[in-house]
Amino acid sequence: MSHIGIDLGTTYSAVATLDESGRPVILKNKNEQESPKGNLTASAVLFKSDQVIVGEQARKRIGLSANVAARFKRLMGTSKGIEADGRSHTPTELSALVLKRMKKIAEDNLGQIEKAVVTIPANFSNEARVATMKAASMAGLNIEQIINEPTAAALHYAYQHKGEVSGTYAVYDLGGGTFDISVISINGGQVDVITSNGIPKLGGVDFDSALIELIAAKYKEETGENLDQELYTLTDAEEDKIKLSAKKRVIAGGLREDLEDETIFIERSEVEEAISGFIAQTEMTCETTIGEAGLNVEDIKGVILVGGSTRIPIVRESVKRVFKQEPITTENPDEAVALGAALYAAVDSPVSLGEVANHYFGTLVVDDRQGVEKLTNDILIEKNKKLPCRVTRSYFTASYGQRYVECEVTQSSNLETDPQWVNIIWKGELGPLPSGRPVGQEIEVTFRYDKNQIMHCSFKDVTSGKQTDVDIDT
Amino acid sequence: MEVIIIIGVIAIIGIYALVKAQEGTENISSLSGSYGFDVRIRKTTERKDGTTDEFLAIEAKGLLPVKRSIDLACLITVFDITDGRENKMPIISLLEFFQEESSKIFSFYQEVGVVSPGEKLMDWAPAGAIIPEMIQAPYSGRRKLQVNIHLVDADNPPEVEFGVLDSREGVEWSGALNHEIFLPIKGYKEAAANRDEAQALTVKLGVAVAMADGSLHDSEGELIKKWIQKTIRGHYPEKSQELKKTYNDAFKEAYILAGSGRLDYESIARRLNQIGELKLKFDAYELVNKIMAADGVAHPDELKSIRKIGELLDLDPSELEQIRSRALVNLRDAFQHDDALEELLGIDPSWPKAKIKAHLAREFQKWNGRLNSLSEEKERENAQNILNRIGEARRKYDIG
Repeated sequence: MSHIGIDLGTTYSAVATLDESGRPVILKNKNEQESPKGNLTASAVLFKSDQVIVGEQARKRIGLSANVAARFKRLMGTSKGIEADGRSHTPTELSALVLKRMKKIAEDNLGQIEKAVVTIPANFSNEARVATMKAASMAGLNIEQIINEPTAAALHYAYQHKGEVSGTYAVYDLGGGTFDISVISINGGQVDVITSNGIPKLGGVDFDSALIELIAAKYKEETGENLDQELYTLTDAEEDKIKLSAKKRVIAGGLREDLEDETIFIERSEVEEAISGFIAQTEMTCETTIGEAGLNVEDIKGVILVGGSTRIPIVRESVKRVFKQEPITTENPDEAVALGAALYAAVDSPVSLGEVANHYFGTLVVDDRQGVEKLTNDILIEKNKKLPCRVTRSYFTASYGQRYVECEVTQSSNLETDPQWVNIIWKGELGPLPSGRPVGQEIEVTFRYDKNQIMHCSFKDVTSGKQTDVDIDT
Repeated sequence: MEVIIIIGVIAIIGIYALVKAQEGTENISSLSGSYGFDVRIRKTTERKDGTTDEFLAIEAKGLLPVKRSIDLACLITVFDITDGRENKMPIISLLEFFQEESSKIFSFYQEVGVVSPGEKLMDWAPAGAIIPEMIQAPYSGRRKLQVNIHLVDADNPPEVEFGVLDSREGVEWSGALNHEIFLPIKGYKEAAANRDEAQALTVKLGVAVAMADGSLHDSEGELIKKWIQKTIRGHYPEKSQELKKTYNDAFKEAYILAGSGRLDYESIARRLNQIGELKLKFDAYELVNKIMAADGVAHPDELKSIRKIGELLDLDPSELEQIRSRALVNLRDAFQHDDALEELLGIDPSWPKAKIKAHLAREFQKWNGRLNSLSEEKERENAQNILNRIGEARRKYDIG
């Protein structure tokens, strides 16, 4: 019975395990039609008659067939439906189909799978995290843990350099749909996360869309007509973008036949100009993250590049500019996350991980200190607090004879006091409490965050001892 | 279901009750009662987190004046007697915790527990507290208070209305202490006179922002109308009519002046800052932001005037930011006007590059973090749009 790690990506997914020697390896997709190179499988789903096809065939039909669904990872945790095959699918259902396929690839290679670890972006919302867990469960995977993508990549990097590296590193992860940056400390096989940030909607697919806009403008200039989306699809844009990483000028692929003698050239510099606003966003996130870690750029010993979009030259130049050093590149930046997840999933992993709280966690209270009663988010556990940790704080009831206290657990990426800007990740009540008591009864709130990123929360009425408990997988 | 959990004030009392204040013993008023039961008021301070909270501790000592075993409670009411006992006026509490059940008049009720005749408080024990910064007399400044302390039967407590007990039944003991105090908060009589003017000024500011782009949209006019209706609701019909006229007149006057480019919103904001209570100033700032968002588009001149109004109202910048952000995510298209970029992002193009860079990074971090908390798709789109424009601004100012 085997343990596997799955990188469920926006555009491509990969699955890995540890081989007999304890080395992490990518499990090959043996179906060439699904995955020409075998190591990555496109996270696209084609509904064909009664069949569900995941992979390359589906990817090739993006924008051409109404039966294809793709790029749904960024919608995880939302209620948005994705139309395909004449009906609406939830992002969770579609992710489950991809995960099911990854499970099958693993089973074809290893036989029965005992346990899996799935990766998610560092800045995923709690809803998206829960939706990913649900998708894994729907795919029949036994998921005990979820790990952040840059953290997984860091584990792999530490493994690769077995005890030879120590110091503070940055993991720069720019994939198909999301961007993450983590600052980590590596000491031999021990990896400790210092802080992480990310942009949930920034990745290769945004560059592809920018490229389509560029082509559409050129097409209009040449023909005077609007570009039909079937003429130049997201898949065409993705392929041209990949070519432009190696060449300075290419011909817009999908248009050649339709334009007959007319040819639209795309210059790399034009694409770079079109995506420079996105690159600026990654730069700001990197700078903020270094500051949040309490470090200067000079303190970062190395920058590890992860994710397919880090192959783009302007991305590498940006990393070099921000971190004032050449980044560390690997042969297959799209595999590092799955390989790291496999290391994390293993029973006797050669590397170990120390995590921090990746969000702020708090509760909602009425604050009257300014003389005006105001519902406020009160933070109990701060972001980047080393796990495990525990905080207890006392609050007080506000009305005579109060029988119930509403209890909330909130999550936010910033230190927010306004409830508008926080996610309520759990809501419950404490009660009924004894009647007839005066105001000011002490309610003791404890948040205990364990190593596995499970938040154990308790709301306790001190006088009566009555208590409401909840465990939240964050 | 009741939601409220108070932090802060109750914590002060809690700490006080547990350890008894160790500091500040000046300004004591005391009363020796029957059976050797004494009460006193002592001005004291509590230092916490670098701030000092000042309050009046009401304390009791001696033989408890009860003739039977009783579940005892302490009830405290306060009057302003600066103009003599015959002209006593109620005191308003700004905290619900210290209010009568049916009004905002100060009243403090605390259960003591079951006591029997002969029981004695050997040392000064806490009976209640008054926080000067959280009460409102008819006028601010140095005031003379009458603090009434009642020991009552917790199983049969008297009703209190406007500081007066409905009967003596259930009252075991009563005593009154006079105490002079400085009250920093504007008195309610002072405030009432200013409130009507402040709200008329708010209407004018609303019109000023609405017409900053040269015209008053239906949605903006409707918003001001609704604000007026809400503000006058709850008054007696005569007062309601009077206020309606005042606010409508303010609206017309501002509209005419704005139409001819003579509406000086800066003077209006200055005057509002001078006379308005904190809450009224926040109300005004909230209204102008809603007006800016009412037509779904942020016009650069609207943004500029709102920023100036915020500065002139001298409000907490972090609170202003929250109000402004709430309005921004509700816009139909935050960046329809290209020249609104700097105003929307709060950049002054004359700043040094390093300052712009740091400001944009903060704005980016803020909005990126908030993206996941927004439940409405439109709000998320707006936040995403703001992020994209911050990226563009960074590129525009060449600060990569």
